[in-house]
Amino acid sequence: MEPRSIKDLSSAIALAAFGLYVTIEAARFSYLTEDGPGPGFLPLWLGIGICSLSLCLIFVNQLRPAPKPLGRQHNWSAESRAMSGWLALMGAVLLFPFLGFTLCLVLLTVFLIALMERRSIWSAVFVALGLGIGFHLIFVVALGLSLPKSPLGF
Amino acid sequence: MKGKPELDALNNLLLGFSVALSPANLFWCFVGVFLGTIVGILPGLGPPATIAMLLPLTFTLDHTTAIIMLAGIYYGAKYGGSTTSILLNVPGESASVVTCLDGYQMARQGRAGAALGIAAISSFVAGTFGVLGLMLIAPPLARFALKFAPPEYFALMALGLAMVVFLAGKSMIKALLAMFVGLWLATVGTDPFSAESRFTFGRYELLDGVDFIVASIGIFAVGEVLANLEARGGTEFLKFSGRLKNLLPTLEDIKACRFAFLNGSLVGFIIGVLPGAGSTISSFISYGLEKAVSKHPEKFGTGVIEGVAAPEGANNSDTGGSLVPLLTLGIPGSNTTAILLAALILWGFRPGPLLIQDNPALFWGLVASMYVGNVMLLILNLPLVPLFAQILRVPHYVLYPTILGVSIVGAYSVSGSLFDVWMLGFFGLLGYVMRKLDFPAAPLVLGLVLGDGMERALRQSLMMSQGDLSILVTRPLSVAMLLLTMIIILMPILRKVKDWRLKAAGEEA
Repeated sequence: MEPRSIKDLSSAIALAAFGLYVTIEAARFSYLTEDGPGPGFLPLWLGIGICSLSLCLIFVNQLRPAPKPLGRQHNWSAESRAMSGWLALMGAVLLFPFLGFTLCLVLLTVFLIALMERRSIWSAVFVALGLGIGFHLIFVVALGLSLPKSPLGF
Repeated sequence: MKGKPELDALNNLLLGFSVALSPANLFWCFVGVFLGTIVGILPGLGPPATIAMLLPLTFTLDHTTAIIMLAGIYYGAKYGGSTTSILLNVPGESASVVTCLDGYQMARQGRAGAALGIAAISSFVAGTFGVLGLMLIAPPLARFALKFAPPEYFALMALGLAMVVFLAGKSMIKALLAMFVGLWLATVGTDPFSAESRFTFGRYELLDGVDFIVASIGIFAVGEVLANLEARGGTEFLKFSGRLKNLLPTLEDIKACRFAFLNGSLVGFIIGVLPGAGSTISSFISYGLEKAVSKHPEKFGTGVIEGVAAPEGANNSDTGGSLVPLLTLGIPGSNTTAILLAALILWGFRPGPLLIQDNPALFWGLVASMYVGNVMLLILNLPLVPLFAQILRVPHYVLYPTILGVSIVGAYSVSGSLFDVWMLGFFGLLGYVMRKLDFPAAPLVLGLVLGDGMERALRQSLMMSQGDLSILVTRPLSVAMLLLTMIIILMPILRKVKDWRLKAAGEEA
């Protein structure tokens, strides 16, 4: 049997809180109307379902044997790298209205290759420019998609 | 005077082939399927948008030629949709989401070519089956589809949701939780009955609800890139096996997919006939069915070739099915068929029971062109497999930004709003967190896909019966599907009980 997991416990607590929010919010909508079930009907049951299942997860988790002490703390560097990538993506999106899609993709690519993958800046710039031009030619020029543009027009 | 029905069908088909094999129709059929393949591969430009854009160009064409080309785009896109699902974990279109589950895992194991090849073969087999169905049983099947009222639709959606049993990983509770969150996400937006806004957090962009494509691309593609960014060098990314024999499915692969071809063909066609059911549901159901009858269900999700063949077959066979209500009743079951209906009306046709009788050249020409188009697609797609598989030669550090770029374009072009790109980021993070916490992502997507239809059908059913729940279990079709749903849900419990009994018997012995 798998040992008790702090990940399961914390996610179950978070989901129970979320289920509670859904239930409370759904209670604001009418449950039944003259025509039949109202807008609160399904969300209310979903909220109750999420709460119940979260409690089940907590219960099942507590039934498992206690985990053996690992002796060393969890290394968060992997998660930090993933979060850096995500923040870079969100940063690029934030800059879309000012720099446009193509330029933001170029910057995001340089960040991912040069800073996160520790490749040479030249290879990062080379790949980034290639991608930027490729995306612009395929999606904007050939397919005519209207992607966010910079004041420079691309 | 009427002849024997089988002779009629043969004569009609000969008429159809005489229309479809004319040089002009062959050319436009090729243009349609080629464009469709490209549209399927590229996110951001789906078949409805492409058909709508090309509609004005068809005014100069013969109407039969025009419908042959537009239908080519429709079913060609289903072929192309699997490519990015398999290679990049980015679903090219909604029906290809399930293909990500095993297709991408196959690519990670160096079997992208086999996955792409089986997707093309399965699409061909099931697509041809769908056309056969359209040709042989269109009118009676359309009448059957009309028997589907809200209680039957609710039962169908419940059956679809029961597939969570097959999409669950180690923990059924976690799978159910993910599905419930998906169902909740489907309730976000304007309530279709009362027009009240639910869970929109004051954002008008959420009034239309959470877009399924944005959520899927975020959870699968962006989540995958984030997970791979954890280790510098992306050690676990895609492998490339350079030898040509590894680029196509082997005879054993094709043998292993025999049932998947049949399953995908049947499930896809039957669900395709039901207006509004959609090819995404058929791909989920055929995947679940394939896993249920498999000798190695535990391997699904780790790169099993049947897990690619079944949903890919279903979403192609669905095309033939969805043309049944369109052509015989004038009822469009999806966005694409709605535009095809608009095109037919614009050209002066009246899709409905008399269409086949009044315009045999149009109907049978279209049917025959779909046979021809499916052959074209197979010839077009199989040689392209090695070419597409070359993408795996691209270093991982080039692939990450490429996937993110394609994902952004796909999300942005859903409604041309930056809000969807923010949502993409949110779902990317959610996909990553779910992966870290061992929550399966597919049930969440399943809930999101089926939630809206299920709520609509349930509320309509209860309106019909003035709140009496027994309406769901007093109609034969509905009760049959609900029973099947119960059996599927009880299956893992019965399996567990059997395991316990065997264990107890072993201990006693």
